[in-house]
Amino acid sequence: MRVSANVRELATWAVIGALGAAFAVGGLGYGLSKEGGQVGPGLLPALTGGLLLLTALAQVVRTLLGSATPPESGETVVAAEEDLDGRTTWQRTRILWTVFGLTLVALLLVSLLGFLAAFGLLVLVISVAVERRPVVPALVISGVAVAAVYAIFVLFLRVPLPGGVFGIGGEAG
Amino acid sequence: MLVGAAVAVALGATSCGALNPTGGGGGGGGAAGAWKPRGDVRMIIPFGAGGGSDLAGRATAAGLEEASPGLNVNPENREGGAGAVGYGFFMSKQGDPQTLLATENALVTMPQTSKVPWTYKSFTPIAKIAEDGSVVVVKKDSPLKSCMDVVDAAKKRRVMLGLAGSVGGTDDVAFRMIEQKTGVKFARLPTESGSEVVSALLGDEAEVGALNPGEVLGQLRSGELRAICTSAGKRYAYPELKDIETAKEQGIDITYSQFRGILAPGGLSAAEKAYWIEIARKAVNSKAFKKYATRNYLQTDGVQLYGDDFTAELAKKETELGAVLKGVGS
Amino acid sequence: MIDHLVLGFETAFTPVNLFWCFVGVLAGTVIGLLPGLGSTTGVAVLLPLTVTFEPVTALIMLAGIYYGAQYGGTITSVLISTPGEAASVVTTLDGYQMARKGRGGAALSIAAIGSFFAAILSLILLMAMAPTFARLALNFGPPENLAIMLLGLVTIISFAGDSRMRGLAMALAGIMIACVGVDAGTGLTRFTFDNVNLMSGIPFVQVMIGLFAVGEVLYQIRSGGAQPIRARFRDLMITREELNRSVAPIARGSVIGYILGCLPGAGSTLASFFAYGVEKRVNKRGKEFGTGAIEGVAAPESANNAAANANFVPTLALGIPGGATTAVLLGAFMMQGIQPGPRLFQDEPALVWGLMASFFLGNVLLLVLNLPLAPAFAQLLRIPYGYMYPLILFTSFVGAYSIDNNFFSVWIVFVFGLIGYGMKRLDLPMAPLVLGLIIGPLLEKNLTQTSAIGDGDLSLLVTRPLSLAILALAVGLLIAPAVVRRLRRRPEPETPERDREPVA
Repeated sequence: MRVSANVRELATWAVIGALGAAFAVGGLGYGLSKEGGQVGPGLLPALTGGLLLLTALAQVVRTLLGSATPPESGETVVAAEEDLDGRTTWQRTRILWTVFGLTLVALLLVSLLGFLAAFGLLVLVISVAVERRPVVPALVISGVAVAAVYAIFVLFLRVPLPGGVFGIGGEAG
Repeated sequence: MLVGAAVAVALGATSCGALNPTGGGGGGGGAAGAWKPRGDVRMIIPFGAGGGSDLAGRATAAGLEEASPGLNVNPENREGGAGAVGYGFFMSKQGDPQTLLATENALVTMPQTSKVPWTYKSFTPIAKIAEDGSVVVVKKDSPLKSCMDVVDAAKKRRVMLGLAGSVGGTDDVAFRMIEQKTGVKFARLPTESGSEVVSALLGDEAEVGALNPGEVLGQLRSGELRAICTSAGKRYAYPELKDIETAKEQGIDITYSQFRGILAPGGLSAAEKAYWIEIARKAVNSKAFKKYATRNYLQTDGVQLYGDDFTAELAKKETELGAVLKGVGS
Repeated sequence: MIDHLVLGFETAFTPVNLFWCFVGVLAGTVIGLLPGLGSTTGVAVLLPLTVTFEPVTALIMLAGIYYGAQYGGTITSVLISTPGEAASVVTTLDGYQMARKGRGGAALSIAAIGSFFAAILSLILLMAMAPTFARLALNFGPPENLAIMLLGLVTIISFAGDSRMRGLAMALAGIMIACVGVDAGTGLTRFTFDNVNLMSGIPFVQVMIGLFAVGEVLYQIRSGGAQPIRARFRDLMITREELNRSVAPIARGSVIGYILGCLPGAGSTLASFFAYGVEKRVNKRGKEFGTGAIEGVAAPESANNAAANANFVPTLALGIPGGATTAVLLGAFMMQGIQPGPRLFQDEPALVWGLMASFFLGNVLLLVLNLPLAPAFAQLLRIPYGYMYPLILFTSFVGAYSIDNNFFSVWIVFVFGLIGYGMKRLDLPMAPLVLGLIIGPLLEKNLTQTSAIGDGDLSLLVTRPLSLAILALAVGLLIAPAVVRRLRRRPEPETPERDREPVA
């Protein structure tokens, strides 16, 4: 447990440090100063990127020396082994990635079905198939949600939501 | 139920928009009878809600509606990338006569300072409906009395300009032109908006600023700031601005203004183009547009151009700016 | 002064104005409830509706939207951890924790009460001495603003509590991300990979929706902790003890908010962050912040509202907008044919005083509307999470799209939703990242401007007395905890005066 926490900590700071390094290098490329010695477009990214890299390195060293205790992860406190629906942590993790994947699918479906239809379906599918809620209330809720969003965003705020190839609730793409 | 109705409405609206019932249209009909928009028309505003370009776009849309009873023009903000996102979206509307765009200087400056996949040639210019000139101002106690004084001062010392918008913006271009004509070099304080320039002038961070009349009239009236010249081609007709000399009168041979116009997508038929030009001619005389123009102190008389005349001016602007903006942003 | 007040109330108290003030407050609240739509968008979107109104009526309604939208944003921050605008980011820290503990109603009530008192206090200051404050604010040039940004950064780091390194790292990352886009000083595009959508930078509202709303949904699914609350309606109301605890934070928050809000452009966004940071340090319950302390809601919410009012100081007295929303409101002035500027008070007394009287009305309406509604809104948390979170996802993505009608925004929310989940798992704090993202462009602008004024020389930062003083304060804040710790190590008993301090 302790070892894996350290590994996770090291990996986190490695990624953050790499990100900082990338911006620092990019910033150097854009030029730290412009003619006349004034602050140039690359100064801030180089500075913050560099500082971020240093911070990450410091954290890596402290972790290796064991002087930085990785913070007690909040989840061990919050996450009950089984929640009120009787799901285990493993099941919940699977649900998490299912929801994530479904959302991605919904986003990709927008260009086909339109925004409202794609997300109306997402709400329905998540509540019925993932959360195992009864079909009728789930249908009502997703229907009401779509209608409310249509009324507020499309009719009232005149947001041109993508309507997909059929032009449902918006402009045809 | 509501959803069903909504879908039906939406379907109805889009099927009209998608079909292009121009039919023959040939023979250069000219008359607006040849083609008419079906259903709602969209007016893309490539900037955020609430800004100067947004106000212009909404006033233009209202003017078009007034000019053609029964026509519905819905303004739609597509902001981002200093206009690049909106124009980019407009590119995808090639051949669609139901979509217009409220255009301004970014149409010409953007392709020169950034990598964007369009120029004014990608679209169908319909009309230039107004010009929004800049007034060059200084603080009330400044020793500078004219724009020539500013140039002379810059020969001897550092003169700090407060500029609204980034490099390639209207103010920046106007001062670059002055620099090229006179050989002086100004120091620049880049800010994001006209009101920041006012703030910098009042706080003595900048010495000279260029602002649209609407942005600065309150300060001029109270005497906090003083106008020393305008970059517009001719003097303003508005009584409160008519005494401001043009830069040209003071011996600096430059003119540069922000233009406001209407753009249609590329690939329109002659009849479609003719229809919009005719409506635009009426729209500039509409109450909605005139009210907007006077309240924002725009110049309208003698600057309005339509169709190919507008295209020709854009071509001229492009060459002119090409020389001024060489090497910017690359 | 008195006759001006009378004139103002006479102007505002017509049935028509009262009605539109009410409509504005209500519409604003609804708009603020929608993810991604804050007061700026709210005012901008509804601006065209008011074109045909009398100028006073139009401005009164728009001001109502401004206040309403801010409160609407608070409601979502507290209930579903979705801040409506930058200012309510810190409200999520304790407000959302309170809601999870069943005290959402109390959090919303104290936000309404705190906002109301902040509004009244700042209005009195606005009416009495707007021109004075506006003149003083002009002394804040780029070097001073730069110093304030640095002070802000120091405050951010203190948010992260025990792990300052994490707070610092996330703040730096935020500033770094803010560098994406066109550089104002040179017109150079940075880190955009030739994508036009990135030219204007990575927008913080979308990032905020992704991190807070979507990230929180994903995290709650994993942790299984989000259960519907079971409290009775009566228990959702605020208690006397909670009220008493909030008095001092509201007072401090209001003062901080007002001062920062007077500065055009820079300070007002930071008001709620500052107020939270300061409260965390001075309050004896500072250690409980982040776990659902009511003081952590009262202080930033009051500061936010005070800053919103103070934003009108430069707007009305000089014609220079104090923040994004007042900039849009200035556009409304011009649409109505009114030239904002230093002469506004003399030229249009009925309008200016009517507007200020309507601020008072708007805040009264907001309080009357929201005190009974707060527990009712908190009832929303009774909805099972299995229905709730798909709806949060839906509105988050629609809200993101409607910010600029661009599908790219939706992708930003998606990506930052994943990042937000990861950050929660790895205990990386999100508020510093968002504040870094907000401060970044301001920091860079003021840095560039300071360097332009000094022709490359940044020593102005320490040679101008005001910026030097602010910098000294920042350094003091930075090293104070270390000094205090060293002092504490002495065998003295716990310093008693810290406990007796609340009335500052």
